[in-house]
Amino acid sequence: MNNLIRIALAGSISGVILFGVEKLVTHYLKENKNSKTSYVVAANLSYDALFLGHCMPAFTVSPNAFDSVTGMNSFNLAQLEASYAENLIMLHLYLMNNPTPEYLFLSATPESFDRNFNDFHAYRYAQFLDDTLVRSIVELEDPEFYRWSFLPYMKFGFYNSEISFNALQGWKHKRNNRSKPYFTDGLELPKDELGNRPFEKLSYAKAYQFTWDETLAEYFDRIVKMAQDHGITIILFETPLNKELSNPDMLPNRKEYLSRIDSIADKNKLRFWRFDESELTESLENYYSTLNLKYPAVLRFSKELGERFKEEYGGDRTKRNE
Amino acid sequence: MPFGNLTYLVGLIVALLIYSAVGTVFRTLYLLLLSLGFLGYISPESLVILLLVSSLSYACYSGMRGQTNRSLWFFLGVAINLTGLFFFREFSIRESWSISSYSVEYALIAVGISFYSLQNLGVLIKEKLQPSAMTIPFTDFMLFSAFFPKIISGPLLRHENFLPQLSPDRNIDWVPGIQRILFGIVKKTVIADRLAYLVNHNFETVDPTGWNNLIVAHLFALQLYFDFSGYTDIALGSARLFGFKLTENFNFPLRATSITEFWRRWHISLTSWLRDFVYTPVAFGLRGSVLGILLAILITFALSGIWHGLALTFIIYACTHAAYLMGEFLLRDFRMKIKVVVGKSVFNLLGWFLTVNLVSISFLFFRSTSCIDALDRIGHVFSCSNFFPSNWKSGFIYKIAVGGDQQNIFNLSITLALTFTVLLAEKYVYRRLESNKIRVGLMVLFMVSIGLFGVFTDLDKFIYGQF
Repeated sequence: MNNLIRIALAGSISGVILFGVEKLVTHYLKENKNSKTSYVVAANLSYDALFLGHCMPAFTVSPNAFDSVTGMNSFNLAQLEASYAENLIMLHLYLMNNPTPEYLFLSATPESFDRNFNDFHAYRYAQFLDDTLVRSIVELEDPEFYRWSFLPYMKFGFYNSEISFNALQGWKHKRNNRSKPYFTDGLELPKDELGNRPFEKLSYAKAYQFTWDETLAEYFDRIVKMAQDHGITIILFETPLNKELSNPDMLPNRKEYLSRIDSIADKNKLRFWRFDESELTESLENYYSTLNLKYPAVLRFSKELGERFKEEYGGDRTKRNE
Repeated sequence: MPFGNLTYLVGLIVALLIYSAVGTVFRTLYLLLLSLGFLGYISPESLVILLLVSSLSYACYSGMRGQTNRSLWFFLGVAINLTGLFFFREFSIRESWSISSYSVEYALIAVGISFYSLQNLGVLIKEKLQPSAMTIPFTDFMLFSAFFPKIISGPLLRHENFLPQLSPDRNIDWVPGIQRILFGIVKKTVIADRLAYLVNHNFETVDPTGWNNLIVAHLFALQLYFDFSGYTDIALGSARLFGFKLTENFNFPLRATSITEFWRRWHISLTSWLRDFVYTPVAFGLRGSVLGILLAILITFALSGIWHGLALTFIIYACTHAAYLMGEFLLRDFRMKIKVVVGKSVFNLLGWFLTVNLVSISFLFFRSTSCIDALDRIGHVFSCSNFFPSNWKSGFIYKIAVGGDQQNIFNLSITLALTFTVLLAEKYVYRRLESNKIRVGLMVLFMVSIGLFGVFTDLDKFIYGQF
């Protein structure tokens, strides 16, 4: 057989194999209940409130504790180091596939407008590239991945270290008919580990200057607009930052950034809740890392958040709706 | 740097199509222009430096071909190449040297100078010792210096092997070439870059247990081998497409049963150059005495360390190997006695075990950012008190896997399984790659492996791209 025909044959067989694996992986990724994107798409959810943001809310807000105070049914959709671009995709996928929630708690911190803290993780959305909004954001945020994604399987192969295990886990979830994620309310904090882990160290460089990213601010605006178009009440919030870190010596332009967020909140007629005066901020004993609270402190904060919600929106759900 | 990535592969196909259309008489000129264009595309400064150093070298070579002042021209040529090598290279990498950060983008001022300056020196030394009847034409000499598949990291060419291949009637040998390139990409993306993730994270801090430092050293040895031999496969495969068979750089070095054998199998083009132009003349000059041989080993390896870069870590790395080789040389009778006592198989197995460990430990100098860091790691390796981790899961597996998540463990298992599969199968694979018939099964295996397990973010960054 001619060598050129052999090459064509090898290319075709490889293409078919990779295409087949792509279909299989797409299917099993969507079955993975631990992936928040797949969970919100696959399950018919009807939460009253959603928490959205990056790792600070992902590790710091316990919807179960919040619900115990407010009587609501909420879920934490925040993800590790997820930028507003990711938050926008997440909200979009949720609203496309589930009834509209009443409230959206959107994390707004100086860190969330700074690219050094939050980035875009294209692999989390690889199975949803058929969606126009997802595709357009992925193209802007990770153009190299996007270029490769047109080759067979490359939308998964490009970041296969992040994908292969999740697909296998999806297969396991499908086989076991699993319906709930491992972190049932979306709080991604392993209880046993956090209760015991002592505070490590402040990972901020002293006098760290935040850098405002206009693209992230644009995504933020789009999230707000998307939520408002659906009639969702948005509450901006910042999780408690320990006193040592919020000191101007440590973060000289933090105040300026908070003022910017205040202005954005005013412009959009949103509430911006901060917890600078919370007792939790007084001691590093409540923290296991620079920005994240230990599990008992997470429960306290989530209840504190619930109390504040009750104060401002009323404790009785039926009355709130009136 | 466009080497081994999609841009390179597409460019290679276009270049090959033009090459097959160009008349045989103009092929050398076409390859020269292509090579200079490739280098200029990577880095215009490097092109200027190559043109300068190699043209001046050719002028010295031509001067030597005249019958007067041969020695003067020779020394001038040597001075030009050594000055070029150390001035331009050290100037370009002084602030950028770091294997961990792959900072090749800062080292683009004198791409390939470490390799073509030694090639030029080889021509001058040969001409000095054994003048050839034929004069090398200028275009051939320049192509010998600038030939694009080997310009970035070798292999080092010998003019006596390369120039005869410039005959106009050479065939385009694309089948083994394309298979070799694909296997090189497998080694780079599926093995080396997966290992790089583990190695880079584990090199961020020195682990307090000896076992972990030893395993990390082994992982880096594997990473370096697959990265460099993957690059070499792509280079040799690219050259083969145009009908050139370049010097092999590796011969399964991790199967060596002694350090001497290791150096016959590792970076062959450099070690054979050093052997012929440094070791043999020095040992011969010192009349082959034991002391002379030991001195020749030390000088050869010290120069090899300096060639890698003017950093203490490289010099100590090279001297460590010199010490290993001296030890082997001095203990050769004792080793023979042991071989007789334990039998050949057991002797080879022990020799392999010792060689792999000694080589990996020496690579700690090669990889570490400072000698103190390397010594700290080696100190732990040889510490009796704290060698094994007290908790194997959290103290070893989770650290090596860069986390204790199921996903980390899964990825570690996949990486190790792929590494050892390729390590065991590569001899078999190489035999089949030489075939003039496309091996459909192997090609499918390569392409599917790259798709399923490849790492694509550092496709064009090779460790030896910095030398």
